Amino acid sequence: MYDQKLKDLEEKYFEIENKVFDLQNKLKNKELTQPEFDTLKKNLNDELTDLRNKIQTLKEKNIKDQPNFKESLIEQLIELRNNFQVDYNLELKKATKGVVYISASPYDHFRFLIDFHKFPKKPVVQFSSEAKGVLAGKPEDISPTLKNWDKDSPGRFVDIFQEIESTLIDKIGLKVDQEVPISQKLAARRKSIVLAKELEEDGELQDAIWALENALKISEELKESDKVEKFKQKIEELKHKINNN
Amino acid sequence: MDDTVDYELRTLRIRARRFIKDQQFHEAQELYRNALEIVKKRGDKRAIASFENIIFKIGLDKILVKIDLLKKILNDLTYNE
Repeated sequence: MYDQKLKDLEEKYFEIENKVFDLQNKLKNKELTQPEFDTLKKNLNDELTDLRNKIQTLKEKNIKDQPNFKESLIEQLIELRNNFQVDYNLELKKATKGVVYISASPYDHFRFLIDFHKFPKKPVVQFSSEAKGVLAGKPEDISPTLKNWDKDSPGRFVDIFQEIESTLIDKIGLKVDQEVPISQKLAARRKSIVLAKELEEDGELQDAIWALENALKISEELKESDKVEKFKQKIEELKHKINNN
Repeated sequence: MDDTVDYELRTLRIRARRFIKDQQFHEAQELYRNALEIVKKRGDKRAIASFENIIFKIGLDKILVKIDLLKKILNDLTYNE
């Protein structure tokens, strides 16, 4: 169906193209009077404008006819959640934003905000403070999927975050099987605690829990049972606060 | 196997979108045709419809570019006594 439509439009174009070249030849050979030339030129110009408008209308109609974007958005959100830890602001069908958590190593965790309420237009991706510390530049500089976003042929959210994750892993440069010195683990825990405090002060309790869970994991590895208990209590306290709000 | 196919599709889409940005419509259309073949083998009807739509739209863009060039040629024609 599409092939035939394109063929018809191309034939129409070539018909006008032949007329233009014919006019060009007649003009060169001085076979036309000025009024004849003016009339032919105007008619051809009108024909080209009509064809252009017809194609433009088809293009717009074609965009409207495209697969249901709402359905495609939900598929994208599920795919993203299957690949990364994500919290959406509302239930899946009504969600407009999400926080994506990426762990570049067992001790380096990052958050990213994605706002997709204008989908299929380009989503807005924001780096949190800890991500900005590692990733220089804009999200578009890191993710080709985001940079080349086309609303008529939207890319996949999961590609964006896989590209960001890959850059983070390159920057952090930590192999999974590499032995991590205790000093690095302690530094990562301190970072998580500071971040949790900041997030709690900002009222971002869910994210504060995530940061504390990262600190908790490190304390468990270090077998510091007193600290494990302390973090668990704090997490429970925050969960309680969320439930009461 | 599926991961390999997904990776191939993703790569094709990214490359095709770059071509569209550079107005290299023919190259983009070829890449989307390759992607269409992949999803046809999978039998994914939604993806097939989506890729067919994209290929059609790129075809329209190609004609629009030719129309604009022809309009320029036409407008440059002037009558000399």
